[in-house]
Amino acid sequence: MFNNYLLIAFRNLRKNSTYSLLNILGLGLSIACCIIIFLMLQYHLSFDAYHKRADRTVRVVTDVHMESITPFRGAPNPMSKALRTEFSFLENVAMYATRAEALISVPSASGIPDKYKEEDKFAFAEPELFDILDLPLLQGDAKALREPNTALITENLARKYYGTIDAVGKTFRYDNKVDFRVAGILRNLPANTDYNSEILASWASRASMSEYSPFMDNWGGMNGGTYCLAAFREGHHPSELEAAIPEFRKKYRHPESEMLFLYKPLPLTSIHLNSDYNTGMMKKSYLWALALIGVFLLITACVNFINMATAQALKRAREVGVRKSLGSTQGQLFWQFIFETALIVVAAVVIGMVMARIFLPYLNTWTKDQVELTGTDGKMLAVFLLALSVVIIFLAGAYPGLVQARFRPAVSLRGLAETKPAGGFSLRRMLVTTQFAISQILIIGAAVVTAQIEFARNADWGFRPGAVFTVPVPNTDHMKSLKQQIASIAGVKNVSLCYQPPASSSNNQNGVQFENRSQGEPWAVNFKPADADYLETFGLQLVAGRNVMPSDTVREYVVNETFVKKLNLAGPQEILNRSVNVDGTKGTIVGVVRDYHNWELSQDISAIAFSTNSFAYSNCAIELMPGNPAPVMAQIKQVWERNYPDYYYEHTFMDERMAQFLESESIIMNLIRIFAGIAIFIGCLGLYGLASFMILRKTKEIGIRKTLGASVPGILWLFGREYVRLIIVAAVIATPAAWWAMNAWLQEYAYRTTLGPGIFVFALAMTFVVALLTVGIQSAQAALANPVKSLNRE
Amino acid sequence: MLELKNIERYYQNGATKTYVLRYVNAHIAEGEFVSIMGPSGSGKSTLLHILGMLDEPTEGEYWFLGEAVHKFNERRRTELYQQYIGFVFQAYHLIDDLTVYENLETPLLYKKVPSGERKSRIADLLDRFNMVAKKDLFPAQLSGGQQQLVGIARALIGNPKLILADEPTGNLQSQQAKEIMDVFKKLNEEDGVTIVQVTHSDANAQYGKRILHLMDGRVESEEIVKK
Repeated sequence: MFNNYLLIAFRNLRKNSTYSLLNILGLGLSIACCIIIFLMLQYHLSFDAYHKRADRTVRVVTDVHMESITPFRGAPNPMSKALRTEFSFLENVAMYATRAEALISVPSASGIPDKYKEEDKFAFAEPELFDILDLPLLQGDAKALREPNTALITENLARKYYGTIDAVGKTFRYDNKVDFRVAGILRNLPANTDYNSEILASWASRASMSEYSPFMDNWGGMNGGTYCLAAFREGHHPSELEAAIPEFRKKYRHPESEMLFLYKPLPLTSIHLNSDYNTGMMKKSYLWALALIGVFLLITACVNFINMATAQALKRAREVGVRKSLGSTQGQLFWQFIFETALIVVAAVVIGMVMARIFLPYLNTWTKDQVELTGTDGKMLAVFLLALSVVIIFLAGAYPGLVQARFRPAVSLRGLAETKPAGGFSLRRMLVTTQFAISQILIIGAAVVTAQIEFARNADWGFRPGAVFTVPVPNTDHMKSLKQQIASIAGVKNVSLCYQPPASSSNNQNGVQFENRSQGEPWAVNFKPADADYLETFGLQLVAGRNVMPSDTVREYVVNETFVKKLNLAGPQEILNRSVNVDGTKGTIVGVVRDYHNWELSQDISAIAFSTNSFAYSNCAIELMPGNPAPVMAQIKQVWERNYPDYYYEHTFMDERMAQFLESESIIMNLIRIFAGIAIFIGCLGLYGLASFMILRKTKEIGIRKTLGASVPGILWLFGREYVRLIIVAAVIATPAAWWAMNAWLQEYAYRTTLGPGIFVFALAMTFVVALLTVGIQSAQAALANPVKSLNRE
Repeated sequence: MLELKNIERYYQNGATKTYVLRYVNAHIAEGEFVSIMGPSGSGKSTLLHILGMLDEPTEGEYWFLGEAVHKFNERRRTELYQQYIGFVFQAYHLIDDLTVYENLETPLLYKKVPSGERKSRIADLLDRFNMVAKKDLFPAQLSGGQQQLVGIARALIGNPKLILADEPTGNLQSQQAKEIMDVFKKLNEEDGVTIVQVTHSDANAQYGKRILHLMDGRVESEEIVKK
């Protein structure tokens, strides 16, 4: 029996090869997208779930309670020690402090060390970490991390540095300062962990380094990349720690700081998608959006399938009649059609897998993820594909199968389908309306996302992001001569030594005490150490007072307008010549700059203070004259390398930095836009096919109407009327839904584009364009055709 | 063999009923060869479809080999149908995408006949109708007469007791028509198959033993064919 079905299915597909190909490719494309979306979801939801103790491990994060609550992903350095002594229900506690950049020098045979600049690969860790996370060692012993100047590295890095994984006992130098001995080799880390540093240096070495040692017992501040992980004993629960925190923080606090840190244990597996406490670009809302688009894609593909199959059913009606007259039951016919659908779906799944395999590497390069076709666990994808196939087969195949199996042979043998399939027609309308509604929601979504990206890109950051770039200042010894030498190069307009540019991901957040107010302010100031050329170099505009005088220490402050507002002063003039204490250092406020965005646009502008403080400088910002930058930049590089022969030269343009600020967001948004685009495209394919069938069916009617004197516009309206009505019904459904969803999404942004009626009108117009392209052109052809021909064909 | 009692078939369209068949009573005995004649729209085909269980009467009783078909559900009707009835159409209604061989095989698949028996039965019939050489051709590659021969062979493949033919020669030239009618006659006389045919042609009706004349959905008269 199945042979017979297979033959018919196969010959049918071959007979309508173009249509079959379109159908299979369209479905295959949807399935490819669904596979990719599934893998992305699986990947992001699996983060750090593979650790044996994952279900009883937390990360202790900090909510900074000032005038508002600021979530902070790190914890103070002494946290692990304190937790260990206080709470016996904790099995293990460990600190894990990442470094965004590390310069690794590996001794080489030639005597000149090989240098590697490692980004996000270096971390200081306590040995207890190995009893919390699954970090298997290939060689050596994790206990070695109790000693200072020891480190563990992954097999990848061992190969890279030493050409072998037998690297225990070898050495490297960190940031040209500290030597480390390799005490063990870690197995390579899986992609789905946020604790992915490939060099784990001992916490004891951090304690002995001069830039960290003063802060190792400091409860008054913390670094974003410094995490505290804790595993509970079996049977204990994070709520126990939560309950104990109020007492705990009274005991462990910075004596002078009025800031209140509220520590919070967050389940390890929940952090990856928690954008408040994680730096990753993937947020829950984006995953939801992707999943929703996946479902939309699936529905669209199934609707296409149903529409095409029912439209085609007319052609199959006679076969149904014959088969019934040969003794087939309804059930057998139903399964025949399901079988045919299954054949197409299986072909589409195969094509989808191939497409997914082709697209995934590009996607990974782009999102910097490592999503693999096998998934984080190969079985899940197989189960997903099976479930997906069954769902599509029955969603898409059951209705047409049922309709066709029910054809009454006495009627269908005459080559007619039931003339009045009452349910079928309204169902088709419903399906097409669904498809239009989905398209409109996706168009609105994509348009709003685009508007927000453009809004951010064109936003006035309040300073000049163009022809300014920064080079690092590795140490303060040579920086003054570096500045002088660079300033003397022809083509350089301004040079400034500073801690960070005006908007940066590295920041100091400090307490403020104004004049003689007895208490500190309930908010923190973003303190930006910089020399007197900073405002000029970055084009920051003074609205009152003057710039700071050159100095090496903190003497005078320039603040921004928000600073003035937060002090509740009447205007910028009010603040001039008054004294302020930032993080324990007093100075006089001499100027106020216009507000600019110092964070991503999703956040409010904070109070900012600038002051000279040469110990804190780590960047040199350079503004070029207009003209060809290449020769100037080559000279700058030469000068820099002469001053810092042991270090890595690199320059970063401000607009690149700005782009990086927006990058992570825009990647995901673009991804959502692409998937939305594909869904809309697949919808168009279906509408096109459906329209061509409908028109074929109405050819005779058109011919008759024309011979009766109908005009071309009249005939176009005959088709258009129906679609216009469906589109308007779809808009009534789609507009509020999309408005609600996109409005909720935009609330995540402190500075956002407005959701005007324009976007909704645009979406409606786009839908009409889509309908016009898919339906209109074909209708026009049919309407213009010679009626004699169309009547003869019947 | 079969008996129709007060069969009615109408279409309800709002308050009005359009009758296709009205108070049709008929009895057909095993081994008969009956022709149904009448002008277009007199309900001939509908009556044949009802006899063949492809359509249901709106009212009335249909007894087939002592069983009350009008009370059966679809599944039991199909069972009865598979066992006893073969259908031949004016437009042949072969499945275009299947070869001659596969077309003949399809009813056996629905009857779940084992593969070996399928092969031998098909081989027998191909032989009997001189179509062995054509078994791998598709319907479109055959002439009308040949297609109708396949149609008849397909109707016979399940060894039916009753063959229903809906204008079996309507699309054929006279020579081919004559050959087809000879086949029917032989089947009736030599194999004892009961045959009911709908026809327009007096010549074809003469092959049978009895003629039912239909007019506006009623059996107007009955005539015995004189040899």
